[in-house]
Amino acid sequence: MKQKCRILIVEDEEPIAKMIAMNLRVASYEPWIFQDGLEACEALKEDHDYDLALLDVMLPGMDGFALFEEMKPYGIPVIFLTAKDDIGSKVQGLTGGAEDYIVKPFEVLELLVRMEKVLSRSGKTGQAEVFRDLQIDYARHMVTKNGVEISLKPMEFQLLEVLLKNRNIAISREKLLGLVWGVDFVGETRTVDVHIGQLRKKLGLGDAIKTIPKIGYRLEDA
Amino acid sequence: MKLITRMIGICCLVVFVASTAVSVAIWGITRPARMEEACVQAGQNALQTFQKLNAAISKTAYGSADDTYVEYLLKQESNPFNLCFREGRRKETVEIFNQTVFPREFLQSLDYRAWDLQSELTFAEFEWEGRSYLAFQGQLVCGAELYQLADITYVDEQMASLAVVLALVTGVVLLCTMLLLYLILKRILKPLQELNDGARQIAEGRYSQRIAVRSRDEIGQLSENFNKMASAVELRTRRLEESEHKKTLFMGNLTHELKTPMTSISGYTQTLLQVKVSEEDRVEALQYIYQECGRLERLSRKMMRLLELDQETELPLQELPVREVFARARRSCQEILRKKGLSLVCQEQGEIFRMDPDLMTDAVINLIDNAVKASKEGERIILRAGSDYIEVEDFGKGIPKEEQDKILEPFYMVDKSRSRKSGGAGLGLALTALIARIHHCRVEIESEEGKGTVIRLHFV
Repeated sequence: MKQKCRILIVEDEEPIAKMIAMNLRVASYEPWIFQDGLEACEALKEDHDYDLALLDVMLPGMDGFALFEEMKPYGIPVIFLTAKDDIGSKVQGLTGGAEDYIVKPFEVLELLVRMEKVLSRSGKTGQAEVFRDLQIDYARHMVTKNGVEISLKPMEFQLLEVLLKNRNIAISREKLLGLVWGVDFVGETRTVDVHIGQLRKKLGLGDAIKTIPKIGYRLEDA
Repeated sequence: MKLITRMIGICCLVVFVASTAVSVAIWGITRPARMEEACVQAGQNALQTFQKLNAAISKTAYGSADDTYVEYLLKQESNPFNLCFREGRRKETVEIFNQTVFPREFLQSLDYRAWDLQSELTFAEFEWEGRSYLAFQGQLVCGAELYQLADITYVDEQMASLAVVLALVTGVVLLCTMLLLYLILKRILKPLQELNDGARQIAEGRYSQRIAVRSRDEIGQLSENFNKMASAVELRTRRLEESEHKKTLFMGNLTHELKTPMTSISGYTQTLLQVKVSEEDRVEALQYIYQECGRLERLSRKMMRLLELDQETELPLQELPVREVFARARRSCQEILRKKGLSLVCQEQGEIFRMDPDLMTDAVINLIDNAVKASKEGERIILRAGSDYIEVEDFGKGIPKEEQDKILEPFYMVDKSRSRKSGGAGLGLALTALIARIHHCRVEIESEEGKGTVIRLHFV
């Protein structure tokens, strides 16, 4: 199994930084928090082996855009996290080469999904993964259990992928519908239930995929 | 219609009327003079012919010549406009010489006037087939009547050409007037045009535009006044823009102050709802939610206070000893002072100010709070009253010069991360400034980086 992705968080608001870190840890990332732009910049000189950076724009010491410029040589993909939702800074962030721009307050799941997208774009996510007794090969769309291939329909595979990448996080049926099928309307949630049922049966994940009342499903590690 | 066109039109009309009147007058005076001249000329000719004939007839034997002789004489004159008639014995008309179409009856029917006093010559005017004639009549010594006609149409022709010339002159004068007027008006109206251009630019929103005032006349005065108006508008617009900008900034800051705790609260709530977290994380999340809720609550309380105070401009103030306020403030600040190990020294000599005790205590607490944030552990804070002031002095890090005017603005924080950790939102000093305003106090800031700060409420 690939080593955990290291995520740099530069956010001066301690509660927000801790909250992001808490979620990232649960989703099998390794978060590193800095609360000061200058401190982060100094620390990066020593150690810049990060897979992704989440930067606040308004930071003490050095603002997010300046820090972003300093970070460019290390080639770390950057997502800006800020309460400044004016178009000007959005454009500045994105034209400057940032991968994404998330406005506070944001949804945790949204942050994770966007991070996932950025990571897969920069090829930092693993091509294969092991979950319990399953080997999942994203490149070849293949799941093997103890060396035996289990045939999954394309939608079932994608559903599995979304659950795996957001493991330990409950995702609503509507969200799953949007993420896997690309539909944004309520009503067809039965489809999700059917596919979840298939996954549980085919992969033996009956206990791992938990149904969370009133919210949705959650794939749990242990 | 443009002003210049209208003015030229009016002027041209006046000039036209005037020159036409002059022309008519010239024509009216010239015509009788010319007629008279023509009349005199023709009369002299007629008189000459008359006298010549009379002389020739008198030379004959009997002093009376027969018709043939008279005819002969007239033929010699070779003037086709000479006519001669005689009355026969039976009152019939005998035509001695007539080469014209006019019969004797026609000529006799004319209205004759005496031509001059010396001669017996009479004359009359008549028109025939569009031409004007003069007819002169006289009695020859032989008893025959002699008429001489003179064509004076040339006078009318001359008058007609005079009229043409006058009309031409009038036209030329008009054209010249128009051209001159155009040039002069253009010059006069140029400042007006500039004024107009300037006014349009100002109207389009370029309030910094000014009109170059050149002339000293009414247009110059108008331009000057217009510039004054533009300055006033510019100033007012800028003030409005500034206040609008301040408001936007305030709203932006407020939004930011709201969004930050909201992000934490909503994030932790989602985490607790959706994520399988450890017991330790769960407690931490709940603690943060509680903490951030407290922050929101403090923020809204301060905002409410700001709004309330902003509306209350006239508050009943009482004469109160400053000691009371100091004591209350000290009690309120005890906890934060103790936490940081700071000592508060109160210095007053029983001063009495007109104030609202609650608000003034609030202001002092905010000032102390500010001083606490700037101070390092173990330092002193002095709360001092003078004859007309209350001040708080600290020996902390001080405020940079360029930030001193801004610290009274809502949400302004010299050191953002540090004040956040101590739970501030940057509203304390804004509140103090507002309270000072209600007490008619001036807020004075003296600060040096690294040495400390004095913030003084100066009663005026």
